[in-house]
Amino acid sequence: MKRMTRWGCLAILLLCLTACGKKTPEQSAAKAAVETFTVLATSDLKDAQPLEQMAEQATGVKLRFRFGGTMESTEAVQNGQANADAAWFANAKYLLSDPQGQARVKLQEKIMLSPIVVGISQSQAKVLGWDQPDMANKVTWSVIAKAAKAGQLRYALSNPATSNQGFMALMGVVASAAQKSEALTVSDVDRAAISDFIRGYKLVGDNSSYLSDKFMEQQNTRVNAFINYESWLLSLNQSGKLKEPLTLIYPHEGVATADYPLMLLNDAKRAQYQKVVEYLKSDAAQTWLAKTTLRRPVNSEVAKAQAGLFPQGSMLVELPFSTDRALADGLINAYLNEFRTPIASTFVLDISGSMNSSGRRQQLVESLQYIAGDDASLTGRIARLTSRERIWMLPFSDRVYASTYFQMPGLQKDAASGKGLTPQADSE
Amino acid sequence: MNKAGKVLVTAALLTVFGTAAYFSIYKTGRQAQPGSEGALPGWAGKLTGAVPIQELSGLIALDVEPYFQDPRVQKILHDNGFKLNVQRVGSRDMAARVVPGQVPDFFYASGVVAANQIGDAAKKANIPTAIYSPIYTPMVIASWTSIAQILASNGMAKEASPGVWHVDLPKLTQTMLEKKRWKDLKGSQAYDVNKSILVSTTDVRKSNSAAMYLALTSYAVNGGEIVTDRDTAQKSAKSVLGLFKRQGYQENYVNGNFDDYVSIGVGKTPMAFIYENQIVNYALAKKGLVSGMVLLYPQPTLFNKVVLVATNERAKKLGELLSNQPELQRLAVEFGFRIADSAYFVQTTKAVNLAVEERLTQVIDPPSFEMMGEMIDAIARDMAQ
Repeated sequence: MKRMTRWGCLAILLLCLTACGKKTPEQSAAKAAVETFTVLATSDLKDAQPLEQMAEQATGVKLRFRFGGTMESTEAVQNGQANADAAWFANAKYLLSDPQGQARVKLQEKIMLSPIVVGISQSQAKVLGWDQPDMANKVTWSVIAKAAKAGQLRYALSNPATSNQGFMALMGVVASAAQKSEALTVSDVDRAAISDFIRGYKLVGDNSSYLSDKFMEQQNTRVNAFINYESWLLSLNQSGKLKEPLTLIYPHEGVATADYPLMLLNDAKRAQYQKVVEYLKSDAAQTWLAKTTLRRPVNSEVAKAQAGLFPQGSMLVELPFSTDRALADGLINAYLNEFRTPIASTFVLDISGSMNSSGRRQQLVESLQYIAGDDASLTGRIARLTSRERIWMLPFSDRVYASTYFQMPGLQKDAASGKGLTPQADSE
Repeated sequence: MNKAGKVLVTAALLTVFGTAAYFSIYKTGRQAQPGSEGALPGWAGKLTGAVPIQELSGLIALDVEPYFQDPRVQKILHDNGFKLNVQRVGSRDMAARVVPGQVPDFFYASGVVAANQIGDAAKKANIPTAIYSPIYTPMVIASWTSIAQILASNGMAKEASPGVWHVDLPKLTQTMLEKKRWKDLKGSQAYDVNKSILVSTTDVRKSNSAAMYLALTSYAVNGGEIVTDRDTAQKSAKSVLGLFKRQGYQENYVNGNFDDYVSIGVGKTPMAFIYENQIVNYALAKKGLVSGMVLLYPQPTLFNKVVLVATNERAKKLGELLSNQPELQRLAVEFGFRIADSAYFVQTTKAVNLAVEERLTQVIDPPSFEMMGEMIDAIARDMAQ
């Protein structure tokens, strides 16, 4: 997604060069919105799309989903640019711990639950002894990090900088290594533990569908584990497309549960919202969600009736969610700049004569400035160049010129050890 | 790394573009201004009935919104000549709506603290008021049998009658302030986790139920005295700050904390500070509680009275009706509230096998709204850091 966002910026910029002055799509959307109840949903909810028809039939409300990435969608809601009547995210705790985000959300209701867990190939679970319930119940994020360091756990995980699953997995490692779960701060971060954990991070991607495809290809060759929502891993097990089923490990005292709040943004649609919520929490919808998407129901009767769908036995002790912004930002920065494998990009730049008109060249320069770190927005911070990144700039006009190569500076300090997260100080 | 990166990119651009790259190189901190959306327009009461009768406007707390939405309640009100136009507003925001010439006929606020604040504002504006307290509910800790037993093994709780537990508030507060973890307690095998012992609440900056928790814990750290002066308020707020801050993310809507207790369970919420009416309402709707759920009654606890502040004669009649009309009173029990007729309340809960404390004896008053404000502000300041 990092790449996507970056090219997205450029693409938008280029579009603007030709399409500026055209009307925004908002006017037409507002008109259609009279009868439709639009929900901006995170893309992991695509499997819930049949609810559109089901809800419409049950309530008469024309429910329509529009899907987006977690990070961009959060940002859109925060800035009041969601252009939707409601938002439905796996996890909205960041949005809701921010006063600006809180002000956008008029009402909220949790619809279903799915904890983030580690799915490990059955054969490898046996090797580690994690097939035994009493052993499995003791597996903490620290144990997982150690197995990753030892090369026994090679996992697929979506990008910690842009996804809830990835980020919460890192948080789990931090909490486990710090031996505490509340009130974590930057000074609790054990960088060696994160570094150990990242050693097993073999399959990187920005969305779960892509990761699943790759995982099926590479299971037991390049990777032997998949960290994701329980619902996703149970669905994979059911699909019959795996080389062997995954054993699910619920990290001891380190479970982060997605609670899928449906959040009303447009107060004028309160009545429709309430109908939709009532339907989604009804026995019919909750049973469908449990059976089809394998997410745990919030409706306690349905939860009881469908308990057989979900592994039982271990008490899921939830990791408290830290609202410390410095910790979250520091962790994401450290991941991007210090821990992950550096990426390489080539920028192909048009320097032909046509770029001299209407300030195009200046806009191109500005867009590159943004990528270099001028953009302070949520997505901008993720999209920008990071330490150790390798970059080629390849100019062309009527012909292609020689490319210029450079590398972003790395960190001078002995990375991957010690405690805390040093802010990435500006250096001249 | 930001600037270093920028310098590098600029240098690279220079080689590509020549001097053209000097445009706007050192512009920093561009951030889109957030767009603004309209303020929350209220919910207008959907009332049935075509007979044009007394129309009253009221600002009501969230706790009683479902009650006024109930068609049976609307029908009795209608039969008694009332049609209500109610708008839901946070109880603490109500006093600000006391504006001469625009004041609603009545306020229905959650808690005496908010009601006193409204009364005070009305007095200053020379608006005469009368107050009624038709319904109330005690503050309780929703918990689990396993947790109650651990607390009991450590001298913090005892089972007062089958399924009804008393928890010693000063002792529990002390244990939490000492940052004890569950696994540090004696006999904690059923819950031997690293988690700190904490009662979960909603966000104290936004929510009345968390403010009630602050009222109780400040009483406990103040040697069993209600906070009555600023210095003590500051000192008490400082001592109990951790009980809020260490919780991390807190739900900031009224049912959030209770929802987690019900749907995620003991792994996330071993103890939740709630209004008793939340769990009674839940149990009545579900015909009982899920096994293992129990109520801990803090000793002492407080009542959250739902207070009607009438600003004219017509609204006074409404206050009297809500307090005295037997059917309106009984319907409030369906939403979990206690009424003057406590036998009816007890009988209703017994019908679904819900164990509640029949008569609460250890009850304190909350501090004045000035003292509450002082403490909430002190905590809010620290939590914002």
